[in-house]
Amino acid sequence: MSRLVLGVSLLVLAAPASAQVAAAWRDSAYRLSAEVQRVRDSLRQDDSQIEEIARRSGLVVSATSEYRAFAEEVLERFDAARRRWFGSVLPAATGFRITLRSGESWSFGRQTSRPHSLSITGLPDSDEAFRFAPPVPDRTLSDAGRATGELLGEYGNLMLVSAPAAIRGWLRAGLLLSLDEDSRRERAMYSLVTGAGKAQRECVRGNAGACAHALGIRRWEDPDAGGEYYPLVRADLLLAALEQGGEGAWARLMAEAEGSIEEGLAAAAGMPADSMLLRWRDGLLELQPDRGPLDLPAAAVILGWSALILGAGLGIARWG
Amino acid sequence: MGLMLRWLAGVGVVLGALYATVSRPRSAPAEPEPDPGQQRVYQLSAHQRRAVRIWSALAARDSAKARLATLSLRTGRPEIITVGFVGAASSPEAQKVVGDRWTAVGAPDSSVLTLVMIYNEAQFDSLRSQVYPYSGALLVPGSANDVCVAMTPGSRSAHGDIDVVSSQLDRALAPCLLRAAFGIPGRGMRDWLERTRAAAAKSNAWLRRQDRAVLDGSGQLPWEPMYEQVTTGRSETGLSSLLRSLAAFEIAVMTAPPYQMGSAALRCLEGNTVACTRTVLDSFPLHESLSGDLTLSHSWEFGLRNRRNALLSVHPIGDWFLSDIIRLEGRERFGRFWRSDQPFELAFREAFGRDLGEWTRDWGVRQRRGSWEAQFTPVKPVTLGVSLHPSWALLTLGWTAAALLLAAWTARRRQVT
Repeated sequence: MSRLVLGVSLLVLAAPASAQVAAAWRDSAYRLSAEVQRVRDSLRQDDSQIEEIARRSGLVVSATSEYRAFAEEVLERFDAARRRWFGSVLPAATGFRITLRSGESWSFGRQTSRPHSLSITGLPDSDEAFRFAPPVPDRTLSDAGRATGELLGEYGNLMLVSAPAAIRGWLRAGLLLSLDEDSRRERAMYSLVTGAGKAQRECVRGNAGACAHALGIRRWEDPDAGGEYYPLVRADLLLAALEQGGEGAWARLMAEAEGSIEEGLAAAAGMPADSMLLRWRDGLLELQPDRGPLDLPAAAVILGWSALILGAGLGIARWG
Repeated sequence: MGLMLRWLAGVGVVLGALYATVSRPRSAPAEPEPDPGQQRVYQLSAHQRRAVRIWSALAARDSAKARLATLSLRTGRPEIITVGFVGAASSPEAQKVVGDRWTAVGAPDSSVLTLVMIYNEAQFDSLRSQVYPYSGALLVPGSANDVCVAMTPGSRSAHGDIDVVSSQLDRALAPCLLRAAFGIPGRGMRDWLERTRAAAAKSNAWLRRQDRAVLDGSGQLPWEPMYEQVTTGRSETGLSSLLRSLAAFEIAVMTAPPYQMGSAALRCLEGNTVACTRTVLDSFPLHESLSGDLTLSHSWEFGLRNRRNALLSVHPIGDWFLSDIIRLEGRERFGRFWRSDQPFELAFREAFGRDLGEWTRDWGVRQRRGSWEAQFTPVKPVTLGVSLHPSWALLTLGWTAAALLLAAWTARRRQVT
């Protein structure tokens, strides 16, 4: 029966597009897109296994039975992390819902998988609300840190949609919030101190203009300035500016919709761009390892063990 | 009596072991039925992607035709126009690719005019359908000149320029470059190009790689593999579990002929030159009837994959096939082939002095040996049908008889007390 319904609906939805007319195919694509969304929504809302777990201001968390305890932990971590960068600003005016859902097993060749979904949906639940529900592997929903990272990644993408166009274009790779913070900062530090271009070296020495050039914010008046840092470094700078700016940082960034990248970053951090750049640089340089890979105690231990093994070996060997 | 019982017990144990290994469990779990709701979403999404693909192709075609009506094209290096972008915009990347290719062509044929059009892909992305919009060529025959429009999608970069995918643009340029270099194709070639939507004419390697020893195709197989998509696995039986644990699946894949290229390609690789000719002439069974003046965008996007008759159908030949003919046979002879009004196969023989099937077989064998697959599995010559040599049967019978005689002779020497 369902096959019959599907066949008829496809016939109705796609039929006008049989001719070689672009407008007919466009209309068909839009109708099909709306139908896909409608079916997905009805599937999502009919899921009786999902229950509401907790609420914060503007944030509802739901989950299937096996993830109820886990969902509460994820909620705590996620809420604390998002407030650091975005304050109380929400991607949807009336809030959003996070759903952790267990999936059904399916096989592809020899591999069996059970993808789960971790969705962010705008509230109220309606056709107009945004929604994002990527399937995630089992391991994501077995580690609260990983699940929080995944959610933050999607949340950052949703927030970026309303960010000034100049900032979106400048970031290139988005906010990269799905990366673990320590890992992101360490990579940014590594990029900063190993950059070989002239502007990159000058930036490490504390020249704010050179930093601005190497980060693609402002041109440096030097023909040999060299290249720029990776997009990850830009994301790290923006997140640092948001953190420095405190509660209202994101709102101030939004208010600079028509401004340049430099103006946006300065507004977010609540200080002149050069000061913000130097403070960010100082923060990264503090992460540099302060000792060599091998210290004296470690060398002594290695030598001691080597001597012991050598002595034991000579002791048991026959010399004739 | 005791001996008889022992025999019966032994036979019983052997039969029992065989039954336990081969038989399926009586209450094998039923294959899980895909959720009807999800299935509906998959099918609707597939139709939506198809609609976006065709919409993008037809919209690009309409834009190109509208611009052609107002533009006066000149021979030589083509003009690059942008469509659907707000404000002035240019694409340095596209200019470089087009400049390099036309420099390599030399003096282009005056009977063909070319235009390069980059259209804004944003509107096709708005549905989040994860589809590459159309990238290919529009061929407009004219009374005085033929016009070839290479069309590819682009997007505005953060710096205000227009970004294009260079490899995609290069493939879209290929049919136009062939016309620029060799002029208007003869009837045989034109019919073949129209029938196949120029799907085997997507490489410009003939302009870049003069060395005949270098293989083109980036390690792909000479005939495009088509797989049947499997989303639900069968439940395991005792036998299948045993086979899997013995890695029999991998062994079967490594030792079997390369079925993924289809039966016609297999027969060709085995030496059947008629099948080889068929893989060239009857290739590309299109499922979507795009307007005949458009070349094929991506064969894998236009419904060629995941077919139920994938093994029996003729698979698309590598899209660098025509480019390799030029590289291996030379531009001058290819020019004669290109412009010939004879049927494709006859024109090939006249131009190169070789049978099309024979040439294709040699090409296919060489390509397969140089493919990525050959890096990981031993590429043996394809052998089809019964491979048991008559002498093997005689040898088997002879050795069996020898074994029986030996056993009988040993038994006769045994003393029974």
